[in-house]
Amino acid sequence: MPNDLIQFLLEVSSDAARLARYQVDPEGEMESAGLSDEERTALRSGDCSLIRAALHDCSADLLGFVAALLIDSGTNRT
Amino acid sequence: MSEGRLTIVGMGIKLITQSTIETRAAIQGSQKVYFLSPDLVSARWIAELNPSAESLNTFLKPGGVRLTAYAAMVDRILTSLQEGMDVCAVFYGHPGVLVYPAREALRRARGQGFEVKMLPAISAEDCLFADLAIDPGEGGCQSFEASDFLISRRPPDVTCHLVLWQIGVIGQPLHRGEDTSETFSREALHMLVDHLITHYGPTHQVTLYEAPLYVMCSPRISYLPLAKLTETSISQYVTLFIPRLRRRERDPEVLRKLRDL
Repeated sequence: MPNDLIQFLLEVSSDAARLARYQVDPEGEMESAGLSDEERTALRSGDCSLIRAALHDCSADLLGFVAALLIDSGTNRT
Repeated sequence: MSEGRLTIVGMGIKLITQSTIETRAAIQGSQKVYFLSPDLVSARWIAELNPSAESLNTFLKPGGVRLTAYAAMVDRILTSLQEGMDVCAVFYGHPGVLVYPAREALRRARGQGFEVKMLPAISAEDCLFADLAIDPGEGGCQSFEASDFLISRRPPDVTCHLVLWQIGVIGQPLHRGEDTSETFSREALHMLVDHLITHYGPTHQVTLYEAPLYVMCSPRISYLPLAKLTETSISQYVTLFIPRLRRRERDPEVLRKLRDL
């Protein structure tokens, strides 16, 4: 379930000890978290786009442009 | 000084793991948090740190005018400040690097007399230096936003490295207020490559770099000749790295004088 994957990623990313355990035994940690086959495949791939797909997350598609530079063609103001 | 205080922070690039202790403390210690997150995981993390957290992602609508969304985000942040609250605004990457809402919120808040602080965070360029083993101090490194570099027709210094940010959204028109879908401009990329070729030549090896979002991911790194850049698909998070063409000659007279000091 995407919700389990969200929580798993949050815990692995915010808890140094949890991250260390994952780095030593990723399969064991994914098993303990009850992740689905699709979710485990995404994490094993190390591919961010596959992980976002497993999260059913569309928010990243919008964000790339948030950081873009404002260009005012009329006044050259940035 | 007006009541209310604004702290602007960044999450870094590799989500959550690159946030500093100071950033986490700012999020937890504020009365009101606003955030713009690139994914659901970081959104939940921020909400767990501070239940007052409110997403600014809701202002971003597919096909919507980006300038309008940016202005609305800043207005929302300023409203809480004007109510006397200590506010923390959280952004992706380094909040001071190419994040218009952060910069605008800082400018307007300062202008209204509020105490404002921005905390540094890891940027995509920082990740690039680490993953490509580049030392910007060794020979220098120039850094530009890709569209700005193109429109300004900047001549690069080919004796030091060149980083072009946001090559994946070069020339995209939304910031001129057009309500268009957000597409990568192949025409703008052609123009950029033509300009770069005049300085580096078509076979100069360049690097397309994309930093990983998650702790178990690796960076995406592609090496290719400059002329092939126009044939490549480029995602929105990619940074272009162009290594120097040659080293700059050192002035022997200056060296002699320094050694004689």
